Amino acid sequence: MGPSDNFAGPSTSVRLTGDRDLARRLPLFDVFSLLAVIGLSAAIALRRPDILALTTPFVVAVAAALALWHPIEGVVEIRADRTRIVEGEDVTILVDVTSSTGIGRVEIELEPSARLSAVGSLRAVTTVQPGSTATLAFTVRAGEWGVARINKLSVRVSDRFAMFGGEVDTRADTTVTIGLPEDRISASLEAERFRRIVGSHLSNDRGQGMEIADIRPFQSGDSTRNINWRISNRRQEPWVTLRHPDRSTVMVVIVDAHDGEDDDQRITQRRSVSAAMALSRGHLALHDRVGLLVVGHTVQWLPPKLGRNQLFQIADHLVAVSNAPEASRRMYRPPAVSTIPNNAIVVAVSPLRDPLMVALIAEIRSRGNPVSVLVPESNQPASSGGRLRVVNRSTAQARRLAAVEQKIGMQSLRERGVGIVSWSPEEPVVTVIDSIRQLRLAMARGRSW
Amino acid sequence: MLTWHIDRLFRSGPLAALITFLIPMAMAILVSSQSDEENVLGILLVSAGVMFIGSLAGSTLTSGLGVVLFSLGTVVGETPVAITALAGIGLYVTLIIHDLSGSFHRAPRITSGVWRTAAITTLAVVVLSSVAFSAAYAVARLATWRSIVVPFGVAAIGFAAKLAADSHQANARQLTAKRQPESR
Repeated sequence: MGPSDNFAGPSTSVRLTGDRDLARRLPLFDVFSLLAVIGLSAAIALRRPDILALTTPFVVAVAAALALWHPIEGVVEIRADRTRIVEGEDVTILVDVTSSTGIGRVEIELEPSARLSAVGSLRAVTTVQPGSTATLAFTVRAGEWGVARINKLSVRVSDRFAMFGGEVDTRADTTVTIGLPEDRISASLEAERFRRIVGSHLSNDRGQGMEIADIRPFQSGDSTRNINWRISNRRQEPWVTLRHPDRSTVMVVIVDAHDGEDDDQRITQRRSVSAAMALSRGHLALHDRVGLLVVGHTVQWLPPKLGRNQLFQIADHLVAVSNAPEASRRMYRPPAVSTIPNNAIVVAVSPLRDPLMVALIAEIRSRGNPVSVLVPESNQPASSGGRLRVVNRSTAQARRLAAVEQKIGMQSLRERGVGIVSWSPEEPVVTVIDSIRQLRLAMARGRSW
Repeated sequence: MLTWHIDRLFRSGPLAALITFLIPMAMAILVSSQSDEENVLGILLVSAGVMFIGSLAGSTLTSGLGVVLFSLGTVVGETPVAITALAGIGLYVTLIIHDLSGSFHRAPRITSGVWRTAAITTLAVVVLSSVAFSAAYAVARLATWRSIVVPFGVAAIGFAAKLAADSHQANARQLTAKRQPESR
């Protein structure tokens, strides 16, 4: 298998064999038959053999079509040459038509979903020779991120005389995952580059290692090799040095699949997903185990794991956020927070507008997990094109109440020891990830003293 | 290269539809020039217009009525047999292009095989029909055969058409019948 980007996904097959809908008389047969009958009748009735000159081609065509007719037999297969692309990239949809008996004329038409736009025509006409395969290639361009598919595949077939045939419409299962431009999974996971940005991070656990975690009085069960002789001499009693173990950490990224109705909210959702993807990619590159919890209309949980396969799984779940039903109709069961490992570092990406999300973060913090929250700020509503936005009084009041609720939620989380980093629209993802790191380090120093 | 040019020219359905007006118009001028009757050209041009409207509307029946009208004008014009045969071939080609124009609307991509199949099929039909007409015309001009054939011919036409339709319907039902579960 070559690079993951070129892996061809599942294909949809449509069998044309034995379909009665494809053995119908086409209008041309009826018209030719009518012309033949009228011509022959007129020639005989008027005793004008020269009229046969006008009608003979139609008689011969009808007779030949009837004599050479056979049921349409074939298979139409549709697939995409790539299943993962980013916004703005093109993907080729391949349609293979195979027939052992041959098909005189085949018309193929694709109807893609709204996230895919046509590059060139999405209709093609071809013929299939007996025992061969005709391949048609269509190009579509990825629009907004998400999961896109080919909604409908129309196949119209007819014999070589265009007198018998039919049409079949089917829905294709071919899907294409459209990621955000900065989330190129095929790019190498540059661990060193990410390390320079966020620095080496320490596991919450304590064990054999180089980094000092704590210094405390000697307790029963401590190893004598950990005695810190300098401090013990000063204090006149044995003290031990505890160190962080040299192993990777566990991180859980929580994404709030909040509403994506208007443009501003869709942009916020896009930024949330982009930040979650960047965090996941970076920590997987450092050989950390990364898990994902998507909270919205439904709950999606990916246990923490290592490796590139986990990155693909995370990317699939994050892209599916764009296809999620409206989060405003939240009726989800609260996720079982006990599934989050006790030693996991939790980073949530959420605008904290939903009290349910605030409660979830507070519950995770109460279990002892270090939690940081990245709050994507939205652009202030401004007049567009010189026009004032007319907002009625109740909407304005609702917005003010929501803003107050958000501030109360953020304050309550801060009091619980949750680090909150606001992310303005102009700030790049890399900078805000660094802010999270610095905040976590500051909080860790505060706890140790 | 020729296929590419033909493809570019015919890709648009309306362009192909325009051809279904130009061919009958050219034949109308040819038939009218060989005819001594008056107002034949008018009938033929009207029928060419009807065929063009049928192509634009995608109605094969309308184009078929245009063909009937054109044939009527040709018969009224009392043109030589060779010109009439040419008109018949032209009408057949016109309806074939009409059918192709329906497939070509919204400018699809067209492979060269489509043109090749249409050309070979049309050529085969034209050659066979020329041979068939020559034989039929020679037989029909025999006085003895004419008096025998007329009553049988009328009956045979209707019977043959019914047989053909029934045969196709039976074949289609048999060959597209759903298989029994045991046979899978």
